[in-house]
Amino acid sequence: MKHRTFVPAFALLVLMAVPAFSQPTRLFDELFRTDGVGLATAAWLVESAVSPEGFVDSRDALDRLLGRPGLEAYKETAGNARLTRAEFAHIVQVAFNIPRGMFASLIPGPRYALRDLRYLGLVGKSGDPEDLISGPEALDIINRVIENGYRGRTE
Amino acid sequence: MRKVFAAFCALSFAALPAFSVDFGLTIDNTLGLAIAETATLQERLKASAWFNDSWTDEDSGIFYEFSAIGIYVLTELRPYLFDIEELRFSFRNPRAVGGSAVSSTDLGRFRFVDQTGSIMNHVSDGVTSSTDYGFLRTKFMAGYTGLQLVAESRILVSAHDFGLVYDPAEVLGSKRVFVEAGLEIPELFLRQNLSVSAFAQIDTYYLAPRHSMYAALVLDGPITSTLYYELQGVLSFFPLNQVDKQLGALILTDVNLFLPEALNSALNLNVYFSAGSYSPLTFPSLGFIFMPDPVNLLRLNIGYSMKPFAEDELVKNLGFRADLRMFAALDVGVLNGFELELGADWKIFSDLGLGLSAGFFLPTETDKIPEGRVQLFVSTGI
Repeated sequence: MKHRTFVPAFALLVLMAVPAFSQPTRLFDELFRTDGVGLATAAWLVESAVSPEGFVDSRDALDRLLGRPGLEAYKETAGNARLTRAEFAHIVQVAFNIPRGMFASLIPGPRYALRDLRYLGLVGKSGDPEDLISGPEALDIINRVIENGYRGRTE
Repeated sequence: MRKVFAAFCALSFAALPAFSVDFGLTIDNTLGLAIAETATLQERLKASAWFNDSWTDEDSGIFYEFSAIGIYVLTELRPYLFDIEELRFSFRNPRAVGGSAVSSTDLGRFRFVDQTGSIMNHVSDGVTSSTDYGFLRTKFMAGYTGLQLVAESRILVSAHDFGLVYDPAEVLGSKRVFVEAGLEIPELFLRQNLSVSAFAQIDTYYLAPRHSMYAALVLDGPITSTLYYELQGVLSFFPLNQVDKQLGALILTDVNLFLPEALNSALNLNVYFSAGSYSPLTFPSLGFIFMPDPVNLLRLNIGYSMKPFAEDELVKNLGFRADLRMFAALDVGVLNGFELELGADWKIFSDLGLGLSAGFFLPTETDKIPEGRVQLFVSTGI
């Protein structure tokens, strides 16, 4: 699966700000290369973007993410299990408290979360919900979420 | 019929997840009350089952997409109507012409819109192809309108086309072949875009077919950061294949002034002026109550819209609009009348939208009576 080649501004700024060979640099490097983001890496990316303090420890990120109401279903998922586009959208919607549609409120889950994020312009219009989310696309989504002012909405 | 449709939907939805495609159902319901000498309740229910799938070829970088929409329409005129609204196969090559251009091709059934949007805007069967060189965009499209169900057809050019609509024995709409070639030069000067195109349609009706040809020029762009305009000029030759063929013209001006500081409002001025034998292929909706013939017509539209609650999460997508229209039939020199339309649209959630419109048409001709209309629109997606 080919992915977008541009580098999100958010990731670039972060890369410049952190010392070489630090944990964030290594994880960003992994993200840029991967065609399938794992749950633990997604947790670190999302929780770091949500947190007002900046980067969180990758060992704590997964616990923080799975402690959020609405994401209990992922507790049975292995940390290295790769996420689909719809699952990543669901995690982002819950973590950033992004407004839900009628059906996402009635039947919360990846299917309607992806539609809501597409409607808000946070995810590209095309692409199969069941495809694995690539690192650059995940970074692009987080970048759009921050650019659209959804950071700091967490309850 | 209902059981057959339900079974079809159930089978389709059961089978789709296995192919890992995205799918859903959209339901649009329009309830209208038309008030003239008597009041008439009108309802239109449209259920659209859609699915699409897309993938990218790793080696070539070509992006492929397949999409389909099946619709079920319930109206008083044709109680049961199942139709295919879209059955499209698309592919986009980001490295066309030696890597310097992006080319896109669409095949199948989908909405075809000509370069102006004024001549043709209709679901048909055919092909479109475009290439974007950055400094220049080329477009080609060709298709056939005759496989569209007559109840959904807005191809109304000749008396025969209108006859099809009112003949209950007819199933398919007007049968015409169309072709268009166009060029667009984006940001030619001062961010102004220029496009030129040639459009032709061939009527396949064996008795007195009425072909036509159009040449169009469109100029659009910003005047200031909040003022935008579009100017269209279309020259038409219609009917093309008869000795008494006549020249026609459409001049369309659209000006929008955006006022974000004033309750996120916008002012619009739209002038539709057609003269001579100009007749578009798709019958346009130029009014809310009064639907004038687009031939030899002057229509002025002054509109105002606003979204005053941009800060409030629940009502930030609630918008209000008002349009005042004037219609004049130029060939007979008659001012048809004035129309006022007021409306509110509220996209409550990503999958739930409401719209309410109310209008009043005041004719100036003595043999016509004033008419009113109230319309409620609800749209939801599953």
